[in-house]
Amino acid sequence: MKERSLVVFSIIGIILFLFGCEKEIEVDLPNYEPKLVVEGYIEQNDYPFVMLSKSIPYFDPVDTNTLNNIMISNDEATVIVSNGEETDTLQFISFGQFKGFVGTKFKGEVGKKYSLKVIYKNKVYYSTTTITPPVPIDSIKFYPDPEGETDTLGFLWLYAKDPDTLGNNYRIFTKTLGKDPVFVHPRISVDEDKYFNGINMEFSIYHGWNMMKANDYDEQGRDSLGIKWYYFVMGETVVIKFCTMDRAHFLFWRSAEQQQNTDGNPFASPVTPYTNIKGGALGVWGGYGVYLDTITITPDIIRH
Amino acid sequence: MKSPFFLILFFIFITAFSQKKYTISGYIKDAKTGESLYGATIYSEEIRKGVISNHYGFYSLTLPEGKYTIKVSFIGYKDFTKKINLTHDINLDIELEQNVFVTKTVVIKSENPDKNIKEVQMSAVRIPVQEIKQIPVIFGEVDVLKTIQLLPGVQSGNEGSSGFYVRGGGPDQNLIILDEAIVYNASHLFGFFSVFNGDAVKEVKLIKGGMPTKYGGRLSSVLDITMKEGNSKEMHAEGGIGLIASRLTVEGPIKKDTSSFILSGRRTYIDFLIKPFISEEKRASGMGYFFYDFNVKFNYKFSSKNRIYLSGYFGRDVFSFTSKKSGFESRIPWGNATTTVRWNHLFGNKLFMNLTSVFSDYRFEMNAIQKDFEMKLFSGITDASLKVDFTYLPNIRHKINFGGQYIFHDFRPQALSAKIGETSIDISGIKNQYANEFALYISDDFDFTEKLKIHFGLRPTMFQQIGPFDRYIVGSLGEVKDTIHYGPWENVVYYFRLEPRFSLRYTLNSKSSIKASYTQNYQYLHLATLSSATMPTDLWVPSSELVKPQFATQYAAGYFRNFYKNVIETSVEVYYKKLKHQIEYKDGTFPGENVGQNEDNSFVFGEAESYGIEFFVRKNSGRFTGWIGYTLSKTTKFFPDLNNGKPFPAKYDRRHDLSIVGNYRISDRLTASAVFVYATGNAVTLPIAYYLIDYNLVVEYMERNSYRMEPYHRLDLSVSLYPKKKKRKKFYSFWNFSIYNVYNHANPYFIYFDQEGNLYDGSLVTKAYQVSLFPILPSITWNFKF
Repeated sequence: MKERSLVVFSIIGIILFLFGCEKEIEVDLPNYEPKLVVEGYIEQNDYPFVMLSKSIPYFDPVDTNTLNNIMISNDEATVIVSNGEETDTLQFISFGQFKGFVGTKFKGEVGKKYSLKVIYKNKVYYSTTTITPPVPIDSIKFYPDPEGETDTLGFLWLYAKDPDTLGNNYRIFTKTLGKDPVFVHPRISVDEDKYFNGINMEFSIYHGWNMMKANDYDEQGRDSLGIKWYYFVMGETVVIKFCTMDRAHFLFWRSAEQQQNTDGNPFASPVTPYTNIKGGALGVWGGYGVYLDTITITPDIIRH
Repeated sequence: MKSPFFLILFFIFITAFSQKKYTISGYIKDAKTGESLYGATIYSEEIRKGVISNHYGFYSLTLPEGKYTIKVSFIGYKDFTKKINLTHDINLDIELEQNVFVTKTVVIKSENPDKNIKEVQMSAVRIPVQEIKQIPVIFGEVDVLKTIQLLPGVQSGNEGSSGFYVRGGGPDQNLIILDEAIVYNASHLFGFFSVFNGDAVKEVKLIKGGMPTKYGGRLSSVLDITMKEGNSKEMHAEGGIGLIASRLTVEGPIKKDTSSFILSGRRTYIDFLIKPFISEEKRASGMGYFFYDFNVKFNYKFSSKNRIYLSGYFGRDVFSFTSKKSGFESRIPWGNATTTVRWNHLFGNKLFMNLTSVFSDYRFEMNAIQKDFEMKLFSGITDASLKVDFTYLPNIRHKINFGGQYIFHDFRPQALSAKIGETSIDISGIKNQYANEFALYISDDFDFTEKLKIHFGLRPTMFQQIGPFDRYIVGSLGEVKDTIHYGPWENVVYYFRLEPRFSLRYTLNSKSSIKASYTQNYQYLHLATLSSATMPTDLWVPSSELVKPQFATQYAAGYFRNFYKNVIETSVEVYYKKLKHQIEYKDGTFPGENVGQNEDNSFVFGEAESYGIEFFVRKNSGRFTGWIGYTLSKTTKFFPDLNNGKPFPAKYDRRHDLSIVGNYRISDRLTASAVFVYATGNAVTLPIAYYLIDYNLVVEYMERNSYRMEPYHRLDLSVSLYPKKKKRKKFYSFWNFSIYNVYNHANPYFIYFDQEGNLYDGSLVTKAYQVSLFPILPSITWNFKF
């Protein structure tokens, strides 16, 4: 289907190329009151973590203080997480330019339900999420890019069995040791088992783009060794984090990633990402079931 | 619901017991070309009453025994007068001579002068093709649909698009018929050109309200396009060479006065023109695009009572892309094909029958080959239909229309077949959907009193989806929980609906009248569109268990008045329209999400409402002709599952829509035309804020369609230069020069945003850009005729 729209856009593109013109305009948007943005996770075997910020009116000028101004600290907000038995008021932390809230009382457990309560400017925002059972990865292969410059550059192929019950949702992350300070993911990192319920899955991933390390790459996206950002390289050790999540958490990521992928396409339907936060905020409160695996890329795991 | 039937029977009964009467009947034709004339008045000077010839030029006038002076008039033609002594039924075929003062360069209005006041039909406009040909158009290509957009109550979509929206209705709610055949996708090149070749068209009629019972199956309008029949007197050819396309039409008699044909074709050469602009290295270098279409029509008159017409249309857009480097080749053709066979038969001299059989097909195909991988994707709709229409003219006060229609639909929502080496996958056919559509109608146009004329009727319609079909029951996750199989011919879903229609005209005096109408329409087909533009990939889907038939109720009223002996006609109309069971895709649906499923699983349902007032002033004769149309309207949609359940404006909701069309005959050799349009900007959804998630920026959008782009306005001019009258012999040619968007106004096509820099170091800059499609575009066309 993608190809079909491609054709349409190509032709319109040609017409625009031949005749079209564009000019910068002033867009007079209606007044907008910034909203609370919640980005919170609770992973299996880890403490809950929540970042709070404010949305930014689209044309507001941005300066060096903007990031600091939108990050919300404990002066303004209280974040409480409950596992049904215990309640934990999260502790404020600040890391670099960012601010967050982290739990100290309990870690995420599979099958449990976690509720979130945020009190901000005398308003209360709620959400709940569950940690779904993780799904193991059976094996990992390395597939050198056939169009690539050498056969030491390529992608990872993962094999796993989807459980028989329907409604498993997945998200994939990787962290290359010595290269990525945090987990990164491909542009499309989520999927659901609607079309492959209960069967063996086989999928490939590339190395995700790291926002924080954008300055390490040149204009063609090559690092100092001349390697494109999206490759995994022979010899690298990669931690794979294969997560499962509940429906609401998945819907958030699918809509957010879909928006990123249609970004700039004027014919796409404009949709604000889904949110599972009640009370008029944006963002997500999501639990992850986590399966971790570490692999070193050697000639033994090449997929032919 | 039953009462209209009884009324009709009652009136027929009355007429049967009237005094001794005889009938004059026959066909009205053009003396020079043999084309039948639709809309000529045949009346008796003694009793000052008359009838109007129908689509096929047929008339029937029943009067009491006596002596009469029969006068036939039609604008642009000399009056025909004959004295007759009516003592028996008379068959009188009449050939009208074209008025010598009227050259081809002058707008000919093919209606009797006060028809707009006298007829009961409201909200309707007829435009002869000569008038359409005068109007300046982009690239000099004559375009029926773009002329239609200049009428009040009719809105265009995007810049250059030939899609149209009538009184708040969607583009799928227009019944577009070419010689009785339904045309599903009426545009080439994503709406920039209409599929109708001006040289093959005789007349265009648009009905936007008070739809007669004869028409149905669509909610908002009827665009009835009649092809020329072909000159039955002598051979002629005409054609033209334009900037982007050339065309040629040949017509003539096969046997003089008995049978004739017309053959018309055109093809674009944009692909050859674009080539030099694109360098070899560019990805676009392997691209090609063109479209072509053919119209064919043939008619044969067996006797004064029997005539047969055969007509056909075939058009294709072809887009191709080849990349030698990767061995990738693709070819994407799409378009319509229609064939119509019609038989006109006269039973006695009061009952006229037209029997039509139509085959109509619209398809979109995509073929791609890369090395040993072959893929074919197609979608479309094929119809076979049979229709019978009767016109019964029992006496001068009644015109009774009745008939029926059966359509067999074959929908191919999305089918795919692929071949990799020796392995082939074929899922074509499994999702085809089949349906029966059936309609009956009856109506009477009745002169109730001298002043009051009414049209009333009923259209019972039936729609049935039949197997083979698989219904996938979907769970809350969008997964298939269960499948229901239906065998061949098995009933899947069945709908029966009644559509009452009512219009009236009340004559105030010889110059003015008021009209009102009430109509109910059902539509069993739905166009599902994901993008904001009309695309060849848009899918037609039938009503199903999930998708209820679309339903519209429209109330309209108007005041009609002519000035200066009918030289200037004016009207004011108000309307209110309510649309139910409208479909949209769910928010966030992406193309291909439903491959292997039922497309209707991703729809949401809602309502729409439109109301407005339309002003129309038209001058039909003299050196200066043209019209001004202005519409003030509002169209709102309401979908519980969209925009948080809040009502939102339709994308093409236009508060103001103004069109001014003028033609001026400077001399016999020179005519000039101008078009000015002004319209409120389209309603769009723009980002209102952004926020940080996962260290990326995510956009929050405003309420659906709550931003207005800048108003659209444009002026077009054209000049036609003809040879001197004396030199217009067997062969002559003329030039047309036109300028589109004369003052080069940058009309908004879409707005996009660009964010540069980085939020983390405070360097982020957000800018908005407005893209415009067509700047000032001059064009030149050379036309010839012999």
